[in-house]
Amino acid sequence: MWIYEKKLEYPIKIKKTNPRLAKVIITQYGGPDGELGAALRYLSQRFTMVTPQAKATLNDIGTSVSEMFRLSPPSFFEALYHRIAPFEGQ
Amino acid sequence: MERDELLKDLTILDFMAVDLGLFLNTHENDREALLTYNSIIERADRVRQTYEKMYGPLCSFRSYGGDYWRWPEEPWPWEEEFNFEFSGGGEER
Repeated sequence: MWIYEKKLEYPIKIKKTNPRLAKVIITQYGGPDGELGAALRYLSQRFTMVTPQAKATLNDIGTSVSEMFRLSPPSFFEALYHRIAPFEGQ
Repeated sequence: MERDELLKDLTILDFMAVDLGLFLNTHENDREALLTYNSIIERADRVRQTYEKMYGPLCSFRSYGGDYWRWPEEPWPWEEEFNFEFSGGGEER
């Protein structure tokens, strides 16, 4: 099972707002080649792995990649947009 | 020790442990990596204990509950005030 720990793996500090960068990052987050898809793929692929090393590593990176969903998307993107630019679709 | 300092130490140690764990998956006979991994886990354990004693549980079903239930206490990790400042990181908004 997964265990939630009340802390981040790697905290980041957003110093400058950047709506263009925010758009790129949100695609990396949930887009077709984003981390959300990657996490689910790693976690599904581990079931068909032959070697114990591959099972373990896919299990672990699937877990690590999911770590980014502990960022709160609203607060993250709000920080990056800083309430200036309204969200536009891609 | 202050909360920020403890949290930063723990974050650094845990990050090293995650990376070394991944490395060891494919290098199980690397003695040096294993020794380093073990020593980091030991250090992280100690920091985790100190942190939890002072600032409340990090997990809702593995940590000791203490004298009163502190799990719902704010701030949460996605809130800005939860996280430590990186050195040299100033407000530039």
